[in-house]
This record gives sequence, C-alpha cells and structure tokens, in this order.
Amino acid sequence: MAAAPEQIADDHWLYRRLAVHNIRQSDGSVHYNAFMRNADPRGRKKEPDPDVSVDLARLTTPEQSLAAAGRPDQGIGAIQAGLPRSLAPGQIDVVHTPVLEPPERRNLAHASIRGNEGAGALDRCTLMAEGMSKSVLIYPAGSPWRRETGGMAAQTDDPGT
Amino acid sequence: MTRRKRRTESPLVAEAERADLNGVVSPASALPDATRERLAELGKLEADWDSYGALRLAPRALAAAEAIIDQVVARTGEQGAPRDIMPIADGGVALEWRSPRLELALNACSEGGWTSLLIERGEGERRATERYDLSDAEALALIFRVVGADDA
Repeated sequence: MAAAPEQIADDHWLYRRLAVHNIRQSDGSVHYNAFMRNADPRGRKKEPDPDVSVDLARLTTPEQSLAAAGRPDQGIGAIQAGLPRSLAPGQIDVVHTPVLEPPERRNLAHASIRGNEGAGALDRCTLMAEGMSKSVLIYPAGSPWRRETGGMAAQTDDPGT
Repeated sequence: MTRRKRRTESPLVAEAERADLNGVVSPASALPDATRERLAELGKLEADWDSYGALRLAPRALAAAEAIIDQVVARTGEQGAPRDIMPIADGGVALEWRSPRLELALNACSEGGWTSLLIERGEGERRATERYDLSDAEALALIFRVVGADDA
C-alpha cells in the first residue's frame, strides 16, 4: 500500500544525520559539508546537494532515524522546513518523499530539501548549517561535543519532536 | 553555479609532489602539529564517511591544502593556520579562517583549483561572495585578506 505524501509546513522540523566530520572541532557547530554531496550525476562536481535527504520529525524520533539508516553512532541535527525555503523562495522546497522499497530501506518519514543549486548555493549550505547548529539533538560518537563523552554539548532549541 | 574547467597544474601541488608528498603530509613542512595531525586524519578517511556516499579525500586536494597552509604559516606563524579543516563529500578539503568581521571558507577541489566563500559581517549586515576556479595566488590573497586583516 502506498503512503500518501504529506504536506510539510514551515514550522515542521526535519532531521539530518550528522557524521563526526560534519561537526567543527573548534566549536561544535555544524559544517556546511553536511549539505553537500559527493558528485553531480551529470558529471559536474562541487555542487551543493540539490536534493538533501532528511526525515520529517513528526513521523519519527532521532533514535529511530539513526536506526532506520543503520547508523546508530551518528548524530542528528534539526532545522525547520521554513529555513531552507526562506533562503530561495520559489526555488527551494521541502517535500515528503517516503521510501517504500526495498523493505529493509523502508522509511515513511523520509523527506527532501530540493532545489539548492545555482548562484549562492554554497552560501545557502552555510546558512542551513548555522541554523542546524542551534539544534544538534545528538552529537555523533567520537565527537568531543557528545554528552556521553563528557564534552561540551551545545545548548539546543526544542525542535518540537 | 559556475561551470568548472579542469586545471592541469597547480604550483602548490607541483611543489608538494616534488617533495614526494602524494597527498601524505610531509614531515619536512613547518605545519603546526595539530594541523599536520588533522590532515593525516582526513587522509585516512574511508569512502562513505558521511553515510551519504562521500568519496575518499583526493590526494591532490590534501596536498594542495597542506601546501597552501604551509605558505601561510611560513609568513604569519602558527596564527595563520586555519581554524578548521574539514572533508568535503566530493573528495575536496575545506579550510576555514575567521577574523571578527570576515569568514573565509576555501575548498581545495579534488581535481585541482579552489572554490571560496567569503562572508563579510558588519553592523547588521552580512554579505557572501562565492568564487570558483581560483588559482593558488587568488586563494592565497583571500587568506591573507582574512589573516592579515586589521581586525584579525
């Protein structure tokens, strides 16, 4: 049975997995590399990711989001959908894109931040990272900022999970 | 986004390759220990380090990053070392410098050349400038604008 995509409002929170190398060592903030991808499928590199995978917070939890990806040691950062939309109105959108197949990858919370490309895309990556830095819910294992390691865990907003 | 053109040779990388770096941190350079250790750490990253399919860091990007930091440190001392050194999913290396009013992100691209993002902050103002396909000299000039800025 197909899962109908849901509307995502500007105040809905989104989760993004964070690896230890997405966190700056100097201050624990999220680096803009969290919003870049490995290579453009059309052969051009250096593009910020125009289709950033996230999870819709109201359909999952930070822990479930990590477990579903098989990455329990990674971290979770959160931003509201209105942030990326505000950076390029009419160009960037956040859409619900549930993953149904294969069964082992099923993720009904999956959503996508689409359209961050063209002039200013790298700067928009930094602005999304700055926003996410205010709401790092779980720091990745190995980060000195992770609470469990006794590091200086940053204060976070309430992402309204 | 500006279309990139392939670079054939970078003086900094050529210098590194002559020193037999091949992407591995040179023991002969004057890098601060923390910088040297960070570059070595990043050079060991496996593919998919971000779980979204990141590539391994390109030896060329690592060598370029080391070489340009070495040049800056040689002129300014350890205060010229970047504040953060981060991997980029496409195999590049991101270097960051900050002064009270300037933030510079400089990406050593995996196939050569540099991409930059300079953020200037003033009274309630923020201006960002992205540049692509920078030469080594252009990248160095940006670094010294931040490191050597009056308010640094």
